[in-house]
Amino acid sequence: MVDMGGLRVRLGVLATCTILVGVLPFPVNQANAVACNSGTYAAFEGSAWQPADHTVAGVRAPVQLRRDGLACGTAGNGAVSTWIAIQQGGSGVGIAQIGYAHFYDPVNGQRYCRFWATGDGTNGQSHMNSCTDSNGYRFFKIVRFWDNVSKVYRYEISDCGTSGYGTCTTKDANQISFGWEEGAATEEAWHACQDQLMGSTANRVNIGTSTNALQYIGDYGGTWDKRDIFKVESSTCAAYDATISNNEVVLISDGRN
Amino acid sequence: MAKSRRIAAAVVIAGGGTALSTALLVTGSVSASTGASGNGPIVINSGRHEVFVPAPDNDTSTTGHGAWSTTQTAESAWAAFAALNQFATTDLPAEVTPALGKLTVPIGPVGPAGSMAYDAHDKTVWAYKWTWCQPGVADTNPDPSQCVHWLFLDGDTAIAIDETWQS
Repeated sequence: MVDMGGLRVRLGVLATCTILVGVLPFPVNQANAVACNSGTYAAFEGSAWQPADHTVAGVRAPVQLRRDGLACGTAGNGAVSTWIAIQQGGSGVGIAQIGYAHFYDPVNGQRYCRFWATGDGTNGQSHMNSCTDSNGYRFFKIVRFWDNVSKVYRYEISDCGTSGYGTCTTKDANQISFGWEEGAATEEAWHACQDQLMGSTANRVNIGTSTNALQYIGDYGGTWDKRDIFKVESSTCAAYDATISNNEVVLISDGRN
Repeated sequence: MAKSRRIAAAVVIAGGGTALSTALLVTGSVSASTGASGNGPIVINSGRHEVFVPAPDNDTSTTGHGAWSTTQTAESAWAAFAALNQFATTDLPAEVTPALGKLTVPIGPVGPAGSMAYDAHDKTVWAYKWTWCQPGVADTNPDPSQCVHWLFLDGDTAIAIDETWQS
């Protein structure tokens, strides 16, 4: 999606560079990583949490929206998104994901929408809604739960509004949990978008804040807490940047903004 | 809309969370109705069982449908949505095809006694489709002209229920 759309995720660690494939359908690697304003592949800037026991039972954060940019590419294929997710580790492509996305709708033009996705995040498994939000933060969370009828764990993807996690609306509760889980809080750009959704060096887009940190739940029944996250950067575009503050805020920018 | 007690009973939220859906809860059938004229259901998302059933004859008028009737026309519902979303024009674009029908959008898995929580269950909607591949998919799709994007608006309020790409 936007990642919005769903995003399939694949993580790999190459020295300081991590490969992450999110909502969209093919892996990103150094060979096909995009250069600035060219290419057709996704670029990821953000963070991930990969606990040793491969167990991530929840992720939550306020995610920032900025509406003052233009999606690049051609109508229909340009998109930038900011999201949190529990994604399938290893070679898996599963994802449970929610956040904001900026689309270049070929009929209706630039649109900034909330989105969520499951499955591999591709067609039919990503959904956009509420494309009228103003600049600001919105609280999202994804929590694994036990489905006592089907006897499986699933993920509940929730939109909790603008003031905290007290009142949430479930967007989806169908996705069966992944055997190998990883957490992600990331910005994703298609066609190497230069887009204010990514923020500027002086005014970055944040996932989490100092008062409402990006938090995860570890093993089932655990508690929300900030974790030992690390930087994810799959693009060769030097203009993109992500930094992590105190393991609680991910700050993302496009230096061209 | 009613709080989903079924979800509350069936699940345990990790971390003590209490995020429960404000959703329509239906016990029994989880399938959408079928158009009286035999128009078959369109599966929007097979994994999620999201289904749209076009009205008989795919008629886009608002009279004569009985249970299919709406207070909005295809044009008025689109205009309301377009205005809310600040589109350049509120006119229904030529590239967009409207259809009246019933939409079913489940939220959760099947619960006890076949119950299920829904965003919409056999809800009369105006559906709009146009050619648009999900970003990323367009780059690998051998025929992007076959990508179908759907927008579903409440037939009476023109409030968006879902917007997605057909699987």
